[in-house]
Amino acid sequence: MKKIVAKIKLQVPAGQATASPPVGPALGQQGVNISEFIKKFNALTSKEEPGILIPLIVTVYQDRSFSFITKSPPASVLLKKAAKIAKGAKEPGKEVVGQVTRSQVREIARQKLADLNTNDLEKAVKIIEGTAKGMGIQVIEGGN
Amino acid sequence: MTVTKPAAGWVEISIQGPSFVLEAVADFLTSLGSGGAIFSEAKPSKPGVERLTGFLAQDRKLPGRMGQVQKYLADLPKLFPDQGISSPKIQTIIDQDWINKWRDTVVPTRISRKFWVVPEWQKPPKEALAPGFLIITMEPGLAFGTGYHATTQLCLGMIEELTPEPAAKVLDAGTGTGILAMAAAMLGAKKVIGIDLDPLSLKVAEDNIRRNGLQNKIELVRAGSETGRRLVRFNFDLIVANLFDAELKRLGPYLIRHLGPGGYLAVSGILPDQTADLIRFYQKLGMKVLKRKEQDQWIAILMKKN
Repeated sequence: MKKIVAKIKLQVPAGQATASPPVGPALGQQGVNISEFIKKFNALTSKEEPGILIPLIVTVYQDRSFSFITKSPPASVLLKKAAKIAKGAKEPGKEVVGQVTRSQVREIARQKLADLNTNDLEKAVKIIEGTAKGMGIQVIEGGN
Repeated sequence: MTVTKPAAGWVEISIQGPSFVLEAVADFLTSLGSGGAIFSEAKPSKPGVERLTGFLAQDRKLPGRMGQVQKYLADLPKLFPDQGISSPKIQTIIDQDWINKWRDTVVPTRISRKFWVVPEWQKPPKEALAPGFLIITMEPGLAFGTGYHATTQLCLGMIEELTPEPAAKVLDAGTGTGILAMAAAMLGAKKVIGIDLDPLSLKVAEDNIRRNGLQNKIELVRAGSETGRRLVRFNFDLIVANLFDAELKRLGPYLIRHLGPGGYLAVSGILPDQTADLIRFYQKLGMKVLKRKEQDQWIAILMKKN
């Protein structure tokens, strides 16, 4: 019965959604009640580390009602945690801001497997390594 | 002297590339103050490729930040050669009151012969206040049944045609926002029960019922709860179930068991090609089909228990 008119994929900081961009325009354009989304999202993510990015998908139905699901933290967040750093590099490729081991990458890949639309762990590892490279995080050999 | 406030705005930054690179970009832009990011489909659409959009506020820190952004984005194709990373698109957007802009798009709407749906923040139009009309005050949000959908309107039409006698007991199965339960109560039903599996919908319905001052007439029940299991004693005169094909089949025997002798069942959320099969299904369970209505390629069926 619920005919879907749009799916909006976002990353929003936990407990800190506001009506400013990206949330306001992204949801407003699809007719979603922005205040209600903000209230619900912030309440749902209040237990998470404040400001940590939460990937989510908002589904908008024909009668302007909506629902949303949140996913596991993005690879970027998991990589920063593993490397024990607060921020990625401003100039990746020129600076290295942290290191993660190959086995940590494998663990992140395993954790993100469902969201990466693949069953192939090796492929997922490559994806995570790519994100690490874009953040100036070096992948080194070895275990934990 | 009039002081004009400088127009505050945002710089919208968007770039297309492989999702795994965009994850890093989203993290970078957020670290510079973007309140998150939008991931949309790449154009032309390509698996594993998306478009990312982030926003930075136009404040005194912007020039410094934009310098960093431009450098970061210019280096990306060098870091990931042959990955199809686009050149960034950067544009300014004017700050707006996104909430009020959205609110302006929700207008009072006549959704059936008798009913108007009016958003909570608006006054009902003159036509809606004329004798014979009823007003439901709502705020579209996190539950289905805002009044704007064909299936809701079809069910409303059927409830109106049956306008229950003051003694009628009505069950709204899958109440969502509570809109059909409220309509039944406003049309004179003595006892209305709204049932739903989703606790969030029940909360939304509760707020709407209070908004419309119908607390004394409508009871909300969680499906599967002890109260829900005891509803059978009511022998309802009318059950409305605006669900979908598979649910209507799964719940068929349950709905019929809850109907009193000669009770009516109005179902919707059915697509045209599902209708014949659903009708046969309910006929086998002993229901007599009285009416079939269609709107925007959605079907509603009114049945009577023999």
